[in-house]
Amino acid sequence: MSVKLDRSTLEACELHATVTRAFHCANKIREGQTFVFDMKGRLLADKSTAHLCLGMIAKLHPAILMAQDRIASGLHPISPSFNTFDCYDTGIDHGGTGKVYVQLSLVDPTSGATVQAWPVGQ
Amino acid sequence: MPREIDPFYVQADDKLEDMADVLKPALEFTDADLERLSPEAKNLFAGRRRLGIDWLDRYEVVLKITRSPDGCGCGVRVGQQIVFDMRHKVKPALSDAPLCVHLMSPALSLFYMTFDRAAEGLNPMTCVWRYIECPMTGHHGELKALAEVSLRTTDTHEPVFKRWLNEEAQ
Repeated sequence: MSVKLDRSTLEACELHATVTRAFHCANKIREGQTFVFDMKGRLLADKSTAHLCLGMIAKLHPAILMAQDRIASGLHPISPSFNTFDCYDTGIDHGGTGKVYVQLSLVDPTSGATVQAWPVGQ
Repeated sequence: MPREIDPFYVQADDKLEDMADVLKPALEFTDADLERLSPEAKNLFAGRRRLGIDWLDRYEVVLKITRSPDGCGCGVRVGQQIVFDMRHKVKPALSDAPLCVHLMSPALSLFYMTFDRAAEGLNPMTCVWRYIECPMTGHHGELKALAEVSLRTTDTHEPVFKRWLNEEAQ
């Protein structure tokens, strides 16, 4: 039995890393800005609103590998345990300069809505 | 007990006065923040003393794809490139390769070296680690993409090979 989905296919969804906190960032990344990836892990520059800092992007690489692993296992791409990440700069009080934090979510690009968990197999 | 630091490097009591006018607005620092910085972080900024206050704006790092068997799953092709500024931000307008997180992420290590080498007064591009590879191996590496890394000037895109960029620093 086929199931009609009321959202885009998973392959068409996007992974959004939304900045939840930022301070002393040399690349001027601000709260609320986003890094947008397709499900293969390609950064979508035209859809991202944050400056495309590799110090944050590279930190998301394991998160994207994990999302792909979860998809292969029939799970929601966003882990309930690991969904917030920070950049590689250790911050002003720890030998570095600034810090950026992001929250990862799955977004349907058609509606712009966050895709919550769905039953396995749907 | 205060740490001893080679006199070549930035000392703990150095308040970076010579670059404070640039750093404070760029990083939203107060004078107190500048004092809070560790000697290591101050040393990072000291690249400006070796290579010039604007060195971060004078150069770009280019990843040129040299191998991508059958085109990889992300569509990266030989001859394409990804360009970064010296603050390790992607420059999408100058890049024609897909901005693949798998291929770009290993490049971050190069930027640790660019800051370290700038603080030493050297050409910021490593003379050792000039190639990066995608960690997605496929079958025994058959699908692995590779890229060659180089430094170029921002304005003319001329390659930069000289070891010393500031002759006076020698």
